[in-house]
Amino acid sequence: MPAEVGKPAPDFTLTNQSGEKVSLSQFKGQKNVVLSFHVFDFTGG
Amino acid sequence: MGVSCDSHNSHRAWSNALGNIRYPMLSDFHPHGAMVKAYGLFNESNGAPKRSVIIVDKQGVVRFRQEYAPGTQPNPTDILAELDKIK
Repeated sequence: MPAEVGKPAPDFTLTNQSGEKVSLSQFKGQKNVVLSFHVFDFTGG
Repeated sequence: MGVSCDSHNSHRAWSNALGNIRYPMLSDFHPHGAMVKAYGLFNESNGAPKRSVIIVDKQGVVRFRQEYAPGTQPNPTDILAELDKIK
């Protein structure tokens, strides 16, 4: 299974709500990261 | 950080509707769902992520992974407790 507990998290670069690029790797050595995956905007999911 | 396959423009509108969300809301829009697929959390039936939470520690290692059934939500207290474990 990808991204299972104990394994390296796949790096990514995605665009945030302000149009800026954010990469997982920019937090390395700095912060723990919580990734909260949501189904769709404007829904309860 | 939040993640979905909506566009960043949709995220901006949703952020504004919620009162200006201050944490990053990330768009995995194009190529569609590539990051979510890399994490094994893409639902092919609706083309969207499964509701789920992953915690990555400072070393870049996955320390927590949980999927939530449709209509259920993570308990923030549980997530904070997981973060306390890896301070």
